[in-house]
Amino acid sequence: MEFSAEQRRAVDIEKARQDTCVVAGPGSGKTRVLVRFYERLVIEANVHPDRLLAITFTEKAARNMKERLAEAFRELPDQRRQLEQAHVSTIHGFCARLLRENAIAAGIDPDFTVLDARRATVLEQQTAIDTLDQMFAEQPEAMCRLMRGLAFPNIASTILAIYDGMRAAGVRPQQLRNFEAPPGTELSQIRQACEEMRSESTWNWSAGQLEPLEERLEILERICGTSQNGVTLDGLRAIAEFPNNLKGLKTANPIYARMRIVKDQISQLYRTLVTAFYAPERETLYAMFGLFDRLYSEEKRKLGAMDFSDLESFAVRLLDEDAELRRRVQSGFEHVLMDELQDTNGQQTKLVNLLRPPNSFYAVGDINQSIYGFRYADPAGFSEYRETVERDGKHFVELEENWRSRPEILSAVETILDHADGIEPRRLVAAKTFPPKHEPSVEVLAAIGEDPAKLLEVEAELVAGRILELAGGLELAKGTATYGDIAVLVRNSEVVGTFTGAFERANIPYLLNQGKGFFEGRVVVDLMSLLRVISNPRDELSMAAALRSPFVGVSDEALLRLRLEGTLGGALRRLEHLEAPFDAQDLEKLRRFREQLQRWRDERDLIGFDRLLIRAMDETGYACEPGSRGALNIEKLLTLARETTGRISFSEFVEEIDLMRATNARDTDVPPEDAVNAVRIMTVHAAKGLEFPVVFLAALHKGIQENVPAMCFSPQTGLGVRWRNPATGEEKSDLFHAAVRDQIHRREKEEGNRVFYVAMTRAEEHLVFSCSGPPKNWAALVQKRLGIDLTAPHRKVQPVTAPDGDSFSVRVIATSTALQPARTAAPRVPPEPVEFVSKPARTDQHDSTASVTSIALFAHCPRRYYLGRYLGWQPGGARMVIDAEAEEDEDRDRPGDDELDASEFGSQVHALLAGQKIEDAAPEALRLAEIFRASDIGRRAARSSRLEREFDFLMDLEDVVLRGQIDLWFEEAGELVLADYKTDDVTGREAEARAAIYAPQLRLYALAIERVVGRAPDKAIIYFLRPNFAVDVSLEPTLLDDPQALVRDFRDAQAELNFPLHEGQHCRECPFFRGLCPAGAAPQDEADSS
Amino acid sequence: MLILTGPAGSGKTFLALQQLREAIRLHDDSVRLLVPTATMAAHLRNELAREGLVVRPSLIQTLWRFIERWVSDLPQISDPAYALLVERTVRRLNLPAFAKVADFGGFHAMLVRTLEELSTAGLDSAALEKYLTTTLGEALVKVHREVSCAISAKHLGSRSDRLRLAAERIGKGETAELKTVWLDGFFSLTDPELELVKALAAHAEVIVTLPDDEIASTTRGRLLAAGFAEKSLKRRREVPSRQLVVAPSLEREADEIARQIVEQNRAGRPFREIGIIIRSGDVYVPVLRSTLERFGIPARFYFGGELMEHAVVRYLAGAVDVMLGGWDYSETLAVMKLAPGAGTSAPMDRFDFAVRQRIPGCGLDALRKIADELPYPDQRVVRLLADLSALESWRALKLKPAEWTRSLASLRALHKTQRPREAAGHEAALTWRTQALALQAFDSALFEAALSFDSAAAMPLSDYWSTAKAVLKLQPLRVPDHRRDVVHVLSVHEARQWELPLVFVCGLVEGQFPRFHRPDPLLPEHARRRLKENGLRIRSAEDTEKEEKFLFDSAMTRATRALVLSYPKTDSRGEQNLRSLYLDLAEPAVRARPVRVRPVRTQAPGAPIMIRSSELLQVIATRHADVRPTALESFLQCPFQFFGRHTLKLEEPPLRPDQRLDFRMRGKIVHQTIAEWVNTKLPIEGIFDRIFHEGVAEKNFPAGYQTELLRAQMLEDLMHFAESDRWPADFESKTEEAFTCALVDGFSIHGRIDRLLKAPDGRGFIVDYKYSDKLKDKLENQNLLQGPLYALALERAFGLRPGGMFYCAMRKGFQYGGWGEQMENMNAANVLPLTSEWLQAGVERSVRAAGEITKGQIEPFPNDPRICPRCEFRDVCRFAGAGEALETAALETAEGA
Ligand code: SF4
Repeated sequence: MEFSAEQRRAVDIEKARQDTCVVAGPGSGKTRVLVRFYERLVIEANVHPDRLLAITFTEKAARNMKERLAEAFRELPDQRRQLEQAHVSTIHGFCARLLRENAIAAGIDPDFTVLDARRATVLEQQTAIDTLDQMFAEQPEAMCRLMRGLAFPNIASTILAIYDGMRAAGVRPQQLRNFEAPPGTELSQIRQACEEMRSESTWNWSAGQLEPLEERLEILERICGTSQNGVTLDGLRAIAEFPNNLKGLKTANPIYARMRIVKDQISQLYRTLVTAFYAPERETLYAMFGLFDRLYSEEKRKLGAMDFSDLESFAVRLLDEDAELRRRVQSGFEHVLMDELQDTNGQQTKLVNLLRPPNSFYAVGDINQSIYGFRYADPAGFSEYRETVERDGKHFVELEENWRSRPEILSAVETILDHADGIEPRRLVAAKTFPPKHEPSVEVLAAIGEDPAKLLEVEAELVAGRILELAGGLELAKGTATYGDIAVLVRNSEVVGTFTGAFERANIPYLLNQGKGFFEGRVVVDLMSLLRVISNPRDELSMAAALRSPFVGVSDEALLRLRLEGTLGGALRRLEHLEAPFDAQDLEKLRRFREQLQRWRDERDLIGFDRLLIRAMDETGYACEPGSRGALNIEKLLTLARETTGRISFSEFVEEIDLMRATNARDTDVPPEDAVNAVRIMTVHAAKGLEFPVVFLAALHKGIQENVPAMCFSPQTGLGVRWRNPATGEEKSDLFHAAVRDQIHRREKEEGNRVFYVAMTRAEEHLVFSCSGPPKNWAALVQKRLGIDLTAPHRKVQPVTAPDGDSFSVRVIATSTALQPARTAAPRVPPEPVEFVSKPARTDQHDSTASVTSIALFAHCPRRYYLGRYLGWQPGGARMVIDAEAEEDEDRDRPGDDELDASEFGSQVHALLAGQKIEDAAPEALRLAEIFRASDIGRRAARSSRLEREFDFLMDLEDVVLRGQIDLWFEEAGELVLADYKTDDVTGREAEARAAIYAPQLRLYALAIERVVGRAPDKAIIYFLRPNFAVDVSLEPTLLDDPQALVRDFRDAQAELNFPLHEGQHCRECPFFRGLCPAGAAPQDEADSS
Repeated sequence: MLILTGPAGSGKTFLALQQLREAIRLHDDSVRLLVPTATMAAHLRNELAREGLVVRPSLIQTLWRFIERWVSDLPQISDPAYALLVERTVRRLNLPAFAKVADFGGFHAMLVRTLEELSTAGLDSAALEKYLTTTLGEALVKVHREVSCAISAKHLGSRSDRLRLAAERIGKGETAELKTVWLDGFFSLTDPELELVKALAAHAEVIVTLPDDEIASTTRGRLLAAGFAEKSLKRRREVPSRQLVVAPSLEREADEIARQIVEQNRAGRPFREIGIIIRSGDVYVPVLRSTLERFGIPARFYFGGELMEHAVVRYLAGAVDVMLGGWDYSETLAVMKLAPGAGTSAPMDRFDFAVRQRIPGCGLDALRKIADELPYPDQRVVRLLADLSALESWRALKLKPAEWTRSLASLRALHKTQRPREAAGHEAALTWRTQALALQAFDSALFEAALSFDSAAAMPLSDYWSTAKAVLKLQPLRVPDHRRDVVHVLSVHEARQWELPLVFVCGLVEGQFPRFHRPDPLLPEHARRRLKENGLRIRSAEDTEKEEKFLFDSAMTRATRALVLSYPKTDSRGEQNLRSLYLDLAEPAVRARPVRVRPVRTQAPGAPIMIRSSELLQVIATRHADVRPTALESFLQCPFQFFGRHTLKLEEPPLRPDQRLDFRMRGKIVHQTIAEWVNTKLPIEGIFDRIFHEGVAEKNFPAGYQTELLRAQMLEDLMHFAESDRWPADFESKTEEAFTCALVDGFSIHGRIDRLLKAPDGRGFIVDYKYSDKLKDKLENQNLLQGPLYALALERAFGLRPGGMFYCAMRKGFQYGGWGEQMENMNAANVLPLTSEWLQAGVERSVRAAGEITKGQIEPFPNDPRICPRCEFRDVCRFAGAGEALETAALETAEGA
């Protein structure tokens, strides 16, 4: 698409060396503009991407921008590659990178992690509690006074909200004290007024008039009677008594006039007195914030973690305090591009100002779309910048063309919000052409009726009905509308449940983009219940939940029967002994669950928590349709489980999630796939930056809660508190609080309009308003500005003239009953079919390599091999040093590597016989080596024509690569001899028996030698050095002792993991006897008392 | 002296193996093939063996093992020892440049990385000193020098020290028997490695293979300069087919890979011919592990885990930690639950709850007492505690490091290994093997720790233990798996030399592949550039980038038949990913198909929510023949709630400390106080204080601000109440009056009246205290029966004429509301007439409710779903609306306001 004239102006590269401000209305293509400008800087002005900093508001926007840039640089591989390290990110992303690069200067852990909102909240809440406890322990009196003064609120959560606000504004706790109280009324003013009124004559006042006057004056004097500066309880009692009217006083005289002023002043005086009275408690609060800040910082330091605000504040501090670094960073960027400048908070503005090089700041924003005031965004930063740019004649562009919406929709926006508070007058110029449409593009649905409780439901039915008509009925530019083209936006998410309920009934597929409590979703509840049971089956509630869930699915009768037998968990454990007449199906389910549960419990800490969950789901058939909310939440829980595995134990994991659920239900669902054909339901805030062909703006009548909390903060005024009048219990704002409250109210009023503006401008082709009950809030505004009636039932299409003279029509449906849609239940688009696969057959699961000693051990007793070698349980303790090449080490078949011949000493002897020098060899080892050398075989070896010692080899046999190490083989006098020496401490008689164990080993060695030399050895000897006794091993293959068959058996045993016991006398010497091996009695403790 | 360059598939390795085969046939022992990794060495050796050859392992080796014979007298310092050494050095030097970060584990790790990089590059302190002139640079050089000295003082060497020494000794001619040495699979050689190569080349024919990639250019240049000749090879292998898959999420990406593997395997391709190459192990290893297991695909992961993360080690190390920490209840509990066998036994479950009721607290004796007091004391918990208490004796000891190692080795005995299940499958076997290995590694870490102390002086356990823990944290846990037919899951580095018919490369998203390289604040880019400009071989960002690209290209060329690339559209937080910039942006991607393993069984269908069995109905009827009005209310509120609370009587798990003084508990305290106060008229503060403290003793309310807040609030409310509680003097006032009265045949109610007032004229008044500040609901809710039923009790149980039944809301200034005659003392706005119709209606509703109860009606159906968020059965009932109400409740604070 071509760039329009104003867009071309906005990307004018000639003006690149000037500060630029682009005011970009909704749908004006600002991302395109940003991308294009970036692209031109790189291509035309030859700026290396490394020297550009582009900041977006959300990560999504950053990725979107990068993606578009990648596309733009498609033909320029170098630039495209450079994008990888390019600074295109959110402010947080940028700060994180800056801090990592300069961690030492910033004094932070270079490996810091960024706490996600979930973890940060849990940590903050815990710290708030700790702070209060510590304050209470240290200054109990002051804290008790504070409690009373605040009328016992739970301030832990208030602390957090205020702390967040302070950090967003860049105010440190110690700076709280610097805020001066807003001006109040001085006692002296009242005192003077009293005196003046007293001195006025009252000769023409009647007694009935004098009495109220006297009463008021008396109260005023009592108030003033309190000492000059301090405030007393009496004063506070008196001031509460002062009537808030002038009833009964004689009018039209100086006293009356004076009293009227006093009446107005008195409320301010009240605040002044309260402020003064609670000065010490205010100090306590300041100290509390200081302590909280310290503890929270320490906590994070300990964890090597930062939260999002820290990223900003550390970055600001780093740049602020280190001039050299600031210079380096600044000069590193030739241009700074910034999107959504109106949404930055005070701290972020500071950061940007520290960063941007002079005359090359390119900012895009729109005050009318500033809706994040509640998150402390401060649009003033943008206004100021815009003014400077305009004033100094720098590059200023306004993008008024709207490339998104139909003109009727834009007219409606202009009509409804014409000159509204907080909305800058700026035209919305329809620039995109749409095919003609005969239906009105703007509609209003109003539910009216008596029963206020049911009204919202009627509205939801109306909306559902209309959606059914539009999906599949409305013609859009791209074709007929589908569910996926429709979004329902609400301001206040409280109402969402009612709408989803109506959609369920109407069979309308929907997706909640945001806001739903993740931890309350069905599947998460199910899985968590199961996890709790695995952690401790005594948790009756979770056990009941699990038993009723699809994991088990027993009947409630079975539940009751179990319970009649004891605790659910206990009864389940004793299931076999119960006599209760369970239904056969129930019994089967319970049995299975009992077995599964025991297994899951045994495994719970040994495998990843995610694997445990998956096993549990798969073994019970628990599943959700792919792409559904449930499936997505399962994935999210699995991720959580995976990330937690290894960090803490299973039971702690369960507790941690429970705690998250308890402390922070704000965790949202995963955003669903774009491809799903379903109506999106979301808050306006979540919809910012998005657009939809059809938008429903629902529950217009619902406002947001305007209660200002008892403690609040603003960057202009500081900390405001509503205190309790100690004399009367009445709550009263102090001077700070009153000022902050006013600011908040003003902001909310303006921001409310802007939220509405943003909401309406999301619609491309069709905009439907809906409301219920008497028109309030936005509904009232719509009624008034569009000149329609939303109080009496009617249906009509009404023409409306916009402020600029354009006219458009609105369809109004006001009714007390739900619509009877022309079509009911439009067919759901069938979900993508799921392919079911069966697990593949596994073959060849034996090890690809094995040592010869392993085979021999296996031949001796398969179970012993399995426990000791295959699984690696080495009863004697550690001998393995784990290092990078451990695996290679393992490939060796070292002497001494065998439990049968396991000793350091054994290896010494082998080394000595191999001719190695050993410095501090044991005398016994030297002696044994000498014995062999002096023996017949030893002497023959010395004479041999060909000889190999410590001959290590690999050879393939029956698809197993065997590793072995032959102590000695030689050829002497035409005879090929194979010898293996053993240091076993045995008697001559035992040696014979031992030799039988070692024989398979030698037969395999013989095979290797045969392959090397081309003929089989003539003789094989096992030499027992201790008794000095040689045993000949027959190499004739027998039916029972064929090495090939042995390896085959070995291989099959491994493949099947079937290692039978080979019980016998030798078991007594086996380290696994009566332990890991079930041979003999089974003393492992399995009894259970209950 | 030859360099063989060529692209992947040009047969470089093939040539080397050819020569080895020849050598084996001729019994010629003078050829060596040196490769970078041990697994690769093993793989190549096995390949030759499978051809029927008898292979001497030394033929194919890693470089590291190859030099061993020359440098066995200079052992390499182990990784943990090196890291400990660096950390100690930094602490000892106490350099101002590092002052702000000297305590951070992350800083130490970074320092270790940077120093290792310098050391691998073969840079010595003198060279560095010249160019690193900033404060930071100087500090770094200082640490570098100190660490190097310390290593040689211990008669150990770094990798490059050893390479250099080997080169020197080879240079002196100690290598006569080698004729040919191949180096294959390296893409760049560090300076010490080059020295070694040159030294070898003086005695033997050395052939180095290199990729024809820019990445190898420096190495190539240096080799050429040293007199190597070059020969380049052409690609011979065909280009494999290539497919790009996009999946909605990480899990689905893994599913798709598994799906394709199953498909391929079914078509006859053995698993061992399939590889999965991943760049970010921490992201992909866990998810692939569980997914492949789920699909029944045997796989071998060439990745190590962290020892400290294994349950065995956390158990043993945790035992020491909790001992040193004074046996904190919850920490000790967490450790005990890790004990094999005992940790998952029923007695432990009981013990768990008992301890949780007493948290926070600490002390071993106290824990033992809790165990002893369990209703069914069991040997397993008692024994476990006894075993743990053996550790207690270490507290007072001072031992030498080696002695501590020996003592701590006995910890192993705490691990009472469970007997492996029979026929449990290979995954289970791997799990056991991992346990066994973890135990061994634990011991060897202790051994390592003892070695790392400079002095052998005796020390308390805490000193020794901090070092031992540091070693445990640094120790990897590698679990061997040698199964023949498995899918290979490889890192890009490991995969460099592999070639497999079918290869998956996953996670092709920006930030992962190419991976963002971690900036190095110690040796920032400008410093690196400077070193580089001066001829020192250190990597700059550009080199890192090139290497990343090389790794990518190398991963792309591992497949001989088919290559499947994939990436997830969103990350684990649901944010959109950006596909890797290395991919051709125009490349068409196919969507991953939804797939599931055919379930062993289908999801159990829900049973009807109803009790129908006559014998159970009998039980219910008996059980509920006499109920409290509040129970009936609960039934009308929601039958399932009633079923859970009153029929099943499901108990809640122990409350967290901050939940203990909940509204129910506060109500109880207030009730008790009022009752006693009405009866005794003693000062209410005193009564309250006593009762509250009894609660503290019994229920363990945590000491602190919140408790004090609630206490003060209750006290204030009670004082306020006591001040203004005025009834006519001639009224007789009683508290906690129990009553029973029949409602209809076979069905009666019972209860306890908070306060019963008798007027001299025979009228009776009931006050029910509620510790809340809302009354309106109570009066409007038609389902509440307490009012009429209590009023009825006045008549039937106490023989009084009903004068009034009032609720008194006690919080924040008290307030009455109810039915009957408005009395003067009531600050009451809501008093309705007490009529016989009202009474009758209440009775009828009760009777109806009772009837439904006995019919077995239990289906969840809340009269007002707004109660669901606070209902304890919300997870149990599966009522669809309950979740909705909860979700909405969760939202209220979420946005805007
Ligand atoms: S949560 Fe609601 S529906 Fe479920 S048992 Fe409780 S009251 Fe009934």
